[in-house]
Amino acid sequence: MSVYVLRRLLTAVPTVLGAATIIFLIIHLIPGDPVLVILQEHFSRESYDAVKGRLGLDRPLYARYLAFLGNAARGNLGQSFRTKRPVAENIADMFPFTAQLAVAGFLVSLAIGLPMGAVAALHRGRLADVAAMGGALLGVCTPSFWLGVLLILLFSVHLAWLPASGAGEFNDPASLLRHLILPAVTVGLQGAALQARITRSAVLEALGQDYVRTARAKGLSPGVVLRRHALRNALIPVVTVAGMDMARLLGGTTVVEIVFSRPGIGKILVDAITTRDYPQIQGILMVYITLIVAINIVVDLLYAAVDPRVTYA
Amino acid sequence: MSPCGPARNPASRRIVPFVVMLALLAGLGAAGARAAAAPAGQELMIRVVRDVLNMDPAHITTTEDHSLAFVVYSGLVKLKTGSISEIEPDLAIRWEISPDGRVYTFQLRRGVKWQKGYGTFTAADVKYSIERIMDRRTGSRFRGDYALVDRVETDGDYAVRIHLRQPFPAFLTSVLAYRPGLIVNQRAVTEKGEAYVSDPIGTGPFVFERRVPGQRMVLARNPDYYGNAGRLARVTFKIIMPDPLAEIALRTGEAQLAYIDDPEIQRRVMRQQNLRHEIIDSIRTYMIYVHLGKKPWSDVRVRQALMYALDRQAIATHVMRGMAKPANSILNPNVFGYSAEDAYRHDPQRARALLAEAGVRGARAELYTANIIKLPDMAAVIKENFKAVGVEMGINIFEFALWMQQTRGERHDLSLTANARIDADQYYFPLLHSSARPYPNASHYMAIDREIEAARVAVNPAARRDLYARIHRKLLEDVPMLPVVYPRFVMAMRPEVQGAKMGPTITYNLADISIKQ
Repeated sequence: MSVYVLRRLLTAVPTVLGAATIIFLIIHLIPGDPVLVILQEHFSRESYDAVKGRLGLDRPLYARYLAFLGNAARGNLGQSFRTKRPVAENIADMFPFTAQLAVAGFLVSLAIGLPMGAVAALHRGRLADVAAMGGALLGVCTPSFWLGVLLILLFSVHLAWLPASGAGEFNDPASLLRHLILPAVTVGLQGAALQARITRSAVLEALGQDYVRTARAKGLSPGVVLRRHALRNALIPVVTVAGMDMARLLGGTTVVEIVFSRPGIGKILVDAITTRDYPQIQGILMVYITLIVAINIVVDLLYAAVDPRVTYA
Repeated sequence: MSPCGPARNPASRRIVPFVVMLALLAGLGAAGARAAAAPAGQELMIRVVRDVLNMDPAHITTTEDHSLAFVVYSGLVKLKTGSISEIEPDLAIRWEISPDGRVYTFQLRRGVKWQKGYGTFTAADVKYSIERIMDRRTGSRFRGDYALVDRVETDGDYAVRIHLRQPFPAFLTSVLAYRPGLIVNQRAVTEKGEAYVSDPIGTGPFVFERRVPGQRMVLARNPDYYGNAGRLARVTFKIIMPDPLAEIALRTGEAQLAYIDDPEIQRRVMRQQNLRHEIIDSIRTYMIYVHLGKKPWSDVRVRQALMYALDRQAIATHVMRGMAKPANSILNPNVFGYSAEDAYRHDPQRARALLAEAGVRGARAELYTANIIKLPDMAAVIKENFKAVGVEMGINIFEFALWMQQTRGERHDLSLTANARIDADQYYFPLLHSSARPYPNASHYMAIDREIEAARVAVNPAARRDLYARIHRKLLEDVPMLPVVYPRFVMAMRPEVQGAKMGPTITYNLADISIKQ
């Protein structure tokens, strides 16, 4: 197993490097001049030259690329064009909020999606199945920004139970949770819909297997058959989708962050793209790529934990 | 694993992971922010649209940077609240301008303390602040604002003299009293280096206390402030992005004071019984550049026709929901040099006659604009206005950075934008002087260079005003740009907020604000 992990980590390096190069090139090919964005109404030849020089944009592209690689190898993601603060610092400020939301949304999607899918599978063709899959379809089709606004109207404005914006106080876990509930439900419900559908398919397949027939023949209750036999074996596709969902959540919370005015990586990435803040864009995308590669490795390792037939030499 | 696996306590299997996850969630948020001290005295929560990016005056970019910098720092002079042309003393207690308009001599206030123990303010700080922006290595966006400065001299610790290469009557209002004019402490800037952008040191009425990234910036009253810092002990600038959420925040008390830009939300806020509001004329002007280098727009009759075709009142009423006035000039009415004279009314028949006279039939214009504020909505109405007189128009909407590049690339026939400046020179020189082609003079207009240059150096205010009036009349004839509307914005507040006023540059008179308990 450790050899496998080492091999995966080594192959991750060229993956990340290749992705970093492609990102660098694409970013610099996007039309739009970051100097003009910074100057706006203060445009003048003197200001343009000064800002362009400060941002290092007067150097040739290959020189900037080599500088970027060299700095990245030392863990230095550069300095944001707009804030002049280290990109790593900007990301470190925001990442905890995105991670909070992604993890919470992930838990919501599992907490709702897995049981919903299992119930649907157990009651295939009956009302519970129709209701569960109808709910899943609704969840997949509902735009997150619309759902978020509805939740704000109901729980923040009319009921005044939960705050509409912000992320809470660091030294007050209750405040953090209160600010997390609505965004996490918004983000999690879409993932729950997908989880429910995948879980239903996987459980149905498992329920059709000989070992389940044997377990039923032994007189085990349906609940025990589901929990100890069918679910465990249905987990491989579920784990795969869960991993993809986690990656989606880490990169896809931007709309929810904006609706709830929550800080997060997604928002600063959108701002960075809008303002052509190249180092900020590169830094955030590098973090995303690294996380996605790591998540894929973890998912592969989880297969071995879930299914003893899977081994890694 | 055996199908019959070992027996386990089901309760602990459910509870333990849940508790671990809860701790993880809370722990993920522990990014080292300091706990807020319990407030003593009145506190105000002001809504801002985005996080402060940079608190170094040489690099402030956004409205939020500006709003915060103006209460943390001071300049030699400052704009009177609510005005963009009247100035009053700040770090300078009096000043003289030489008869030729080239030398500004300031007598400085004594005993002014820098925040957080950085010593006493002297003339050396003024010289450093200005020369730092003029230095190309600083890479300041305001470097061009000081292009006319020849040198800065100190005369002891409490007098400073600024020598200009030529007279520049707008120097006090548009440079020293505005964003480029904020004074910094040399020791703080050099000691803190890159960290300075996140820990500013000024002489203003409020001290930067802390920033919770992405959520808020907290300022505390400066106990050593030389002027009236007011009754507020602490001010929090809270980030609430969309205007609809700002309205909710005001209603629920999550914010107490908010600037609202979206006309739809402005109307809703104004109808709220439990909120108060003030309507403020902004310094923004919506306008259309016409590319004079392309046919048929090079024909003045065609441009005049477009001006007759444009229904500015309809845009003000329907797109801006009544929260705007039709514009007659690219200068905003708040700006020195503005003339109220208007030569155009909405007259499609007159527009068609002019187009026929110019021999134009079936013309098509490509309008470029950005997907911000109300520009796309306006473009839709403008398209219908022009269609009614026989000019077809394609609307090309770009994100902001791309729009700037496209306009610079001259592919547009028309370009719809909004500008906000505080002096006529800041409109005319960059937008209409031939040296500013192709950007920001996206019209490629070259006919009033002499008048613009003369107005720029006219030391006598009456002569300057007269020159701007002549420029305005010339622009009414030539129509290189089509003024559209002047928007208003709304400052909304909860009933407990007393004395709040906002300037058209979105700065707050914190010294006059109190909270009714």
